[in-house]
Amino acid sequence: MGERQERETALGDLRVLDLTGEIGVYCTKMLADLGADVIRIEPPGGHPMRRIGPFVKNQPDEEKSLYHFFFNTSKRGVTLNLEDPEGQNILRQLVEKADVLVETFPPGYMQELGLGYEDLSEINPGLIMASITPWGQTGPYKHFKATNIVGDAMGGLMFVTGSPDDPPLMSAANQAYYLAGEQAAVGVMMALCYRDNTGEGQYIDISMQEAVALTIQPQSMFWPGKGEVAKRFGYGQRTSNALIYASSFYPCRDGWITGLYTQPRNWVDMVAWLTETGFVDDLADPKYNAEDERLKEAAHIQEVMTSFAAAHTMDELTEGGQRYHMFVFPTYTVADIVNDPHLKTRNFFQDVEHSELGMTITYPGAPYGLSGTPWRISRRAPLIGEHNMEVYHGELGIPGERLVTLKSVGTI
Amino acid sequence: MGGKKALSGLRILDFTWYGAGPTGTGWLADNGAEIIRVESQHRVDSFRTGEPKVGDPASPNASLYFNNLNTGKCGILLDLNNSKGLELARELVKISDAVITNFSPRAIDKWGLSYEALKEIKEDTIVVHMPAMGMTGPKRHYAGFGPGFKAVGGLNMLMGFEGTPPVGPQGSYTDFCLVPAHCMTALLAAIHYRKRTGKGQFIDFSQYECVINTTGTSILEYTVNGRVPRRIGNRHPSMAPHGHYPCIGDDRWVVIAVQNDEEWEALCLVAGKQEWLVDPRFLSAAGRLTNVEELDKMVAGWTKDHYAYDVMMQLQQAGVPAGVVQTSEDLFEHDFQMQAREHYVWVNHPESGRHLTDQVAFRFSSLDTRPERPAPMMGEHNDYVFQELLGLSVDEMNELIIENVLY
Repeated sequence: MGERQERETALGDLRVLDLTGEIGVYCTKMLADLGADVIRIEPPGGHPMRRIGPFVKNQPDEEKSLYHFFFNTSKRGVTLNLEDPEGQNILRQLVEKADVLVETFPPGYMQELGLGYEDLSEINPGLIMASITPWGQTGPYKHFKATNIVGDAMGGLMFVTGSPDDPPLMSAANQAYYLAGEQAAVGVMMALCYRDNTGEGQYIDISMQEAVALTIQPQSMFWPGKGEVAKRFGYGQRTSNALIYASSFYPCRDGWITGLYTQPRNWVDMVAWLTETGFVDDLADPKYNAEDERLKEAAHIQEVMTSFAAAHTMDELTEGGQRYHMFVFPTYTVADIVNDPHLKTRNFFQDVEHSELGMTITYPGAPYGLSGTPWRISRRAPLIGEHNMEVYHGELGIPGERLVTLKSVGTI
Repeated sequence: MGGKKALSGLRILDFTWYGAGPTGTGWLADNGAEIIRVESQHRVDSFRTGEPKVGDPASPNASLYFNNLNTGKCGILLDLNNSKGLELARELVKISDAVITNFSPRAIDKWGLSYEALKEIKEDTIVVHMPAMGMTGPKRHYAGFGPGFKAVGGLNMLMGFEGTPPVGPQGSYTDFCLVPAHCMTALLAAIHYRKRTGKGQFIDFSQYECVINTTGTSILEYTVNGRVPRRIGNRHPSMAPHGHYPCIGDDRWVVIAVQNDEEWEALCLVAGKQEWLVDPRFLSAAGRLTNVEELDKMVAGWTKDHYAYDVMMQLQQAGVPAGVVQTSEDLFEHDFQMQAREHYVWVNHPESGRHLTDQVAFRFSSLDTRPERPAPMMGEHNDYVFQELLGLSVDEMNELIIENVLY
């Protein structure tokens, strides 16, 4: 996998240095899959992310972490000890030719090493440097620690997530980390557009907590707007706070569906649909046309809908919903997603070869379809230090014998 | 206020409505892009009519829900069902860098807004269509909203306590960062590419394919190991204690995430529980995970007699990740970090008055990210857009108003 022969990409002119941990690694994946030459810089021995599961065939191994695989597609990989002065020199050499650097160390760490934005922008004034941290680089909590659940909680997402009868619920798959990375990608792209026009570099300070807070904008505005604290409503939107709308999750024949009868204006269509399928019971009675009556009879209505849903499949209810102007959606499992004919038609999934494992692995595909410069996974995640020779010798011109020395003293 | 902006000089014709589209173009507007938001008088964006209203409840201009997401944009009213209206829309395409819609594929065809059609008008245009399920495939005509995308994208089935419905993250979770951040990244990448090559392109953006990409390793767990991940509530595969713990007050909680033995020891000391430190069941992470039920009860027994902020502060000072499960009130009133970062910014709206609004989650070293102008009122910028940008005379505009093309 040496030379890259491929179609034009949107970010194919960019070199990105990737010094991220869990909180920011999705940002550099986004840039890499859009074509940027992302060099993932790991500590000698590999980044701790490689020890996070799941693993291929459940065998814990730093070269078999699916966590590492997923978030590091399309990247090249080198190892470098940033706490070693020679390592710092090598990073400075890399920065000379880089467009973007993304890092997730605690605030102040890079400055202590002489690798802060002030230092690096002197070497390369056009550098765009993004720091992704739980709380940002400023403020009284900047040195507090956070994992994903702390981000969910402090950003306000957790309080409004889940059922009103249960405690607040954490997000799946580390959404807080993702949100931080997503906001970082937007910030980097904005800074890049600015640099395209002015030649100026930029430092970007991203806060995970603020990224999470963005996700509750409809709810959070009730505080300054009305002095109301939005609570957990299960499925329901804050604006439809009658319980019957809040509980539009129904088990059906092959799973769960959401979005069945969520708004008062859906009632007429709902009755027509129940009538068509023979499940209407007494709900066609005009007395139910009054909202008050429906709220009074909520338990009965829910009972009818429960038997209706239970008799149908997720796909039947989704299609029926589209006919009756209700946005019913299936609650897909991973297996449902992988086997979804719609995604297959769109060639969503992408196979990536892992030759040293003798495997081809199917990855989630393009989150966006760019017609002229398609998203793609150009290579599997790098092995530990896989591109040390290519980058340090081939590109920086460090002699081979020097690399042997650097390796023996733990710099690379 | 009034600092340099990242996207000055960029103009985008924005046909999106509801949540995900306007949220993304709102970030661009706050960062200097000129967003021309095309709206319909007949089909008013339901966010304009939604609560919380500040001002006249009957006014389409008084919803903070809408006004928060649409800061900094120009708003025009235009009837796309009228051929003269469509003609004006096409004139706007000519003077814009990019066009974005979240209409269904059917509506896109009806109004002649396909990429092929718009490329005829402006060769290097960038067109983003973001319908629910993308522009191709058997389900392309499906309409949908955020609550559906988190379900069909797989997030819901990964979240929840055992025995509860797969509720997923709150309401329209995907609309307010996940989807717009992906969409804006793609759009700005296309703008960067055009700057380099002069070439425009089309972006087919499905609102749930990006959601699938945010389910982490769950797809690989299935395609590689054949395993469908289970829902684990607030627990963690390698950390314990990890989760929600009750505090003094109604529905008040703190979360704690102990990553290693050092943090466990620090927690025991903060809690003043020497006996936990020496309890052989909890000496290692493996032991704490095995005995997690008992462990969680013990920790909850300690936190319940304390205020959430006190627990967070004490644990953080001892180096243990912890946080209050903050409410929206907390974010605005009690969170010193959000205040120091000035995440919420005041803007002055003609109907709602001075109100707080979100800004993006990042700050630039030399560029201003803060919203400066309020969301547009219905048709507020018709004069600016049609007279100043398109060069119509007052008479021509009045004629179009009489013909119900503009309002």
